[in-house]
Amino acid sequence: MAGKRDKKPNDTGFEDRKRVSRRDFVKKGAVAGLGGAALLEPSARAQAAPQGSGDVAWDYEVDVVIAGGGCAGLTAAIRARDLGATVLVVDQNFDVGGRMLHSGSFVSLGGGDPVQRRDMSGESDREGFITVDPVEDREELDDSVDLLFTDLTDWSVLDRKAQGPYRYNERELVRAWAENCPATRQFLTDNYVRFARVNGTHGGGGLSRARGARCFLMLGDRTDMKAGTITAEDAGVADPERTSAFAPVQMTNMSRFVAPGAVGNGVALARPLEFSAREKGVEFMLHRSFEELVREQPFSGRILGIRARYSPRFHPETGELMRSYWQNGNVEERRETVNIRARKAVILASGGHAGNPQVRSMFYPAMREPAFPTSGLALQGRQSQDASALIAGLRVGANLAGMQQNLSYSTTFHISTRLGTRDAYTTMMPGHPTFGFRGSAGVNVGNAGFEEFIAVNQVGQRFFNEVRLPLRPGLNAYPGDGGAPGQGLEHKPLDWRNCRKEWVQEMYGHDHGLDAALAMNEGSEPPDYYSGPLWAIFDQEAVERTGWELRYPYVADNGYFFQADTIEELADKIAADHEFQRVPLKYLAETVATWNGYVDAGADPEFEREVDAPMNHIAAPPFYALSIMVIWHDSYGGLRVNGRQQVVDMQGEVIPGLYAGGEAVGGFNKHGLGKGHVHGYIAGTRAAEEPSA
Amino acid sequence: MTISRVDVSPEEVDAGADITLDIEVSHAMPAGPEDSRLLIRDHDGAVAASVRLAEFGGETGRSGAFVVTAPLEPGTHTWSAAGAAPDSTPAPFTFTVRPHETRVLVWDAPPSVECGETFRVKLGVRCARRCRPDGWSLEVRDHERNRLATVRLGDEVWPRTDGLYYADVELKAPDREGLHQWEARATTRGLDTSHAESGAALNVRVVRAPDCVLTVEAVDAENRTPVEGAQVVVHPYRAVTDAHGVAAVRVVRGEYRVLVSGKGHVPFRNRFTVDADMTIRAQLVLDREPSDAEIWS
Repeated sequence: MAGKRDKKPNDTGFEDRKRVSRRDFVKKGAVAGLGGAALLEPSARAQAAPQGSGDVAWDYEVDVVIAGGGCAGLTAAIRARDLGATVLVVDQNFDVGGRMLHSGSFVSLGGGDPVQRRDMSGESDREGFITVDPVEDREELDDSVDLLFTDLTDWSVLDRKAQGPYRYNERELVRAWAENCPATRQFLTDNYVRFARVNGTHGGGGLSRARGARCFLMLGDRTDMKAGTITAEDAGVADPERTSAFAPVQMTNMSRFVAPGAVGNGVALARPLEFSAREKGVEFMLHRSFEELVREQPFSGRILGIRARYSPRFHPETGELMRSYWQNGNVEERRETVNIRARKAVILASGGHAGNPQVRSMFYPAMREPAFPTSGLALQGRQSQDASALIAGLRVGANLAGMQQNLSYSTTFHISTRLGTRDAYTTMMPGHPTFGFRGSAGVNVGNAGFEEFIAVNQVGQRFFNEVRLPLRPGLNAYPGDGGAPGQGLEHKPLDWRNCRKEWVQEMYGHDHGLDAALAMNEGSEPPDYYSGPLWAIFDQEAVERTGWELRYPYVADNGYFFQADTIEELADKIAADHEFQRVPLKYLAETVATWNGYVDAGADPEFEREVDAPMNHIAAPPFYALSIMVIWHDSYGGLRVNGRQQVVDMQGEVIPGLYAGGEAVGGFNKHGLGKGHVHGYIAGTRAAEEPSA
Repeated sequence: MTISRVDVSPEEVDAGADITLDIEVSHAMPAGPEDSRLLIRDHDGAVAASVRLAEFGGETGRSGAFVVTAPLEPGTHTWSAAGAAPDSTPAPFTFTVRPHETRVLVWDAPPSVECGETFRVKLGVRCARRCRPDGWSLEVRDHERNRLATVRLGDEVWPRTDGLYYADVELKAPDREGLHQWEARATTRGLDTSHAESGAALNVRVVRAPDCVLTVEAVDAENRTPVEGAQVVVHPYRAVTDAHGVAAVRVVRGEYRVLVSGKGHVPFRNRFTVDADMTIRAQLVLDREPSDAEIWS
C-alpha cells in the first residue's frame, strides 16, 4: 500500500476496503490531507530525501512505484505485490488499463507456454469454457524457448518492406523474454485472464510457430471477473451503437476460438488484471502524469522515486472529474505535484512516444503534424504515449536502444480505413464517458471503400492512387505473408535464402501511399512544412452505392465530416471548421472537375486508378468530405534495458533501482501485449527482490 | 458635427446583402435631437438609413455598428454619411457590389450513348446566397457553342440539399462517335438580382451500336453465392449486377479491361477480347483487411 514512511502499511484486503464508503473515504482524506485507507500522514511531506537528491520532500512511500497502468505496468504491479511488495501505480488517465484496454487482446508469447501445451493436448481451459477444437495443429504449437529466441533474433528474415524485423533486437533482452514467456502465460491465467485457442502469432513474434491467443469472457447475466462472465450491455454487444463504461470498445464474437457466447478483446484482458490487482492490494493514483525520476545524484546513485503531476480529465459533457470504473484501491490526490519514494524500485511502464509529435518526428519529420494523433485519443487522453519514460530516463543518464525500429514494424503508422473521426482507431460508441472527446465513431469503409472517393490533401489536390492508400504490408509473423519464402512450418530460420536478393525483389510488396499523404504541398509552410489534413471527397451516388451511414454516431458536426450542395461550398466549410485545416482547399473544385474528366476518359494519367478499380464521377449532389487519418499507433525505440528489465546508462551500467518495460523500452521489435506483459512480469519480479533502501 | 470616419464591412459585398457601417464623428455634443442623428444616403441621394449616435460627448461620438442593405446593381458605389442638421457636410464612402456567385451542376449523365440516341441528364444551379430560381434557365451548348437545349429550373430543391434547384433535360447524342465536350450554362440575364454566369462541363461519350453482349456473373469467391449490386465497368460501358449476380453489358467488339467491384469485395480485374457474345465469371474475394484486433492487439 502507498504508505507513510516508517509506518507499516495497513494491508487491508479488497473486500474490506470495498466497504469504505465514499463519505468515510473523504473523511479519512480530510484527516490525512490526502485520502484512501492506507495513506500517509501530512507530516511525511517534511521528510527529507537522502543526501544528494536535493530538497525532495516525499509525499508517499511504497516499495515499488510503477509509472503506467497498462499491460506492462499492471502485470508488474500484481507480480511485485504477489512477492510481498507494496505497490503504487501512477497513471495519467482516469481509468486503468492503458492501451491494453482498447486492444484486441492478442497475447503472443510461446516457447512452449501453457496455452500452447493445452491446445497441443486438445484439452479445454480449466473452467471448461472452451468447447471448440484447437485451431492449430500439434506441430504448429510444438515450441521451445530456444526456437522462440532464434525466431526473434533471426538475422535472415525480411519483411515486405525489405526491412529486417528481428536482426536488430537486443539479444539479452529477447533471451530473457523468451525464457519468461511460459511463466507469464501462467501468471496471466492465474489472475483471471482466459485465453482462447491459439491462432497464429503476432507481428514480431516469430515465423516458426503459432504463439498467440486472444482473451475472452462469456456472456452471462452478470459481469464477474472471477466467474469469467460479462453482460451483453457491458460487453457492448447488446446494441451495435452503444459501448459501456466497462468496455470502451465493443467486444467481438469469439465463438470460433472458444464456444458460443464468448466475446473478447482487450477488455477481457485488462479488466481481469485490474480486478486482480485491486483485489490483491495494488493501489492506484490516477489522473496523475509521471514526470521525473529522482536520483541520488543527477547521473549516479540509486533511483529514489518519482515526481508526478496532477493531470485531471474531466467529463466532456458534465465537466465533472471522471472516475475509474472500479475505485477500490484508488488514492485520491489532487495536489499539483507529489513526490513518491520507492523503497525498492521504480518501474517505467508509461508507454512510448507515438503520442508526442515532437519526439516521434525524429523518425519521420512529416509526422510532427499534430493533425494525426496516436490511437485511442478519446480514451487515453492527450497525455497518452507522451514519451514521459524516455524523457525522464534521459534526464538521469539512461541509454536508448532500437530507435530505428520505429521504421521497421510494418504497420507502426498507416492510413486508417475508418473515416470521419480524429480518433480513427477504436470502435468506441456512445455510452463510454470519453465518447464525447471523439465526437463521432467514424465510418469504416474498409480497403474496398477507397475506390468510392478521391483523396485530397489540404489544398484539395489528389496525391496517390486512392485504392492503394490503406494497403499495408503483411505482418511478419507465423504463418504469415510477411516475406519469408517458406510459410508456416516450411519456414527455415537463419537461412540466407530468406533474404536472397532475387527473392526480396520478388516478394517486395509495399505501397507508399502514406508517404505521399505526408508529402509537402502548396499549403506546407516553414518551419514545419506540415502536410495538413486529408479528405475523402465523394458524392451522393457513392453513398447510395455503398450504403455508408452518414449519421450520428458515425459522423457528427465535429469538423471531421462535411456536406454541401457544391464542391466549392464543401471546400469553404472544411477550411472554416476543421481544426487543422490551415489553408483553403483552393484546388478542390478543379481537382474534382479533372477527376470527372478522367472518369469520362477511362484513364487516370496521374495515378493510374483505372488499373485497380472502377472510377466514378463525383457529380451527384450533395457532396461529402470525410477526414482521412494517418495513425501512428505504437512506438518501438526506447530506453535500453538488460534481461532483468533494468535500465542501462550510457556507460553500460545499470541504473540502480530503475526498471522499464513495454513501449517504454527499445531494442525489441515485437508488437503489442506479449512484449509488455513479459517485461512487466520480469520487472515486477526483480523489483520486488530488490533490498529496501 | 463632422464625420471623421466611416468603417465599411465588408468592402466587397454580394448584391442585396448586408453591409455593416460604423461611423465616428467629432464635435459630437448634441444641441438638440437632430444633432445626434446621422443620415446615410445612397448614390442617388435617397436616404438609405437613419441612425442616432450611440455614444457621444466631448469631442467625439460613434454610431456603433449598424446594417444597411447593399444595392442590387453590381459595381462600385459611393454613398455618403452626414449629420441630419442641414449644415452638416456629407462624408462619402465607397464599397463594391458583386453579382451572386452561382454554380452549375450536371449529373445522372449516362456513361455512354449510342450515336443519335436521346438521353437525359439532370442540371442544377446553386446560388451562393440561395436565391430562388425565378425565371432562371439553363442552356446546353456543344463545343462550338451551338445551343442544343434550353430548360427552365424548377421550384423544388434537390433532395438533401439546401438550395440547389434543378431540371431534367432530354438531349440527343451526335451521330459521330467519341467524347463530345459540351457545356451547361446558367443564363442569368434579366434577373432582378445580379448573378454571375457560370457553367459546367457535360461530356457525352458517343458509341456506335454495340454488337456483342458481355455477360458478367459476379460470385463470392469463398461461398460461391451471387453478388448483387456489383458494379461492372467495361469502359465506357457500365452495369450493375442483379439479384442473381448477373449483369449484361452490350459492347462493341474489342479488347476491354473488365472491373467488377462488389460491396466489400476486392475488385475483380482482367482484360478480355470480346469478339462475340461471351460470359465471364468474376470471383470476388471479400475485402478482409486485417482487423484492428489483428493489427493492434
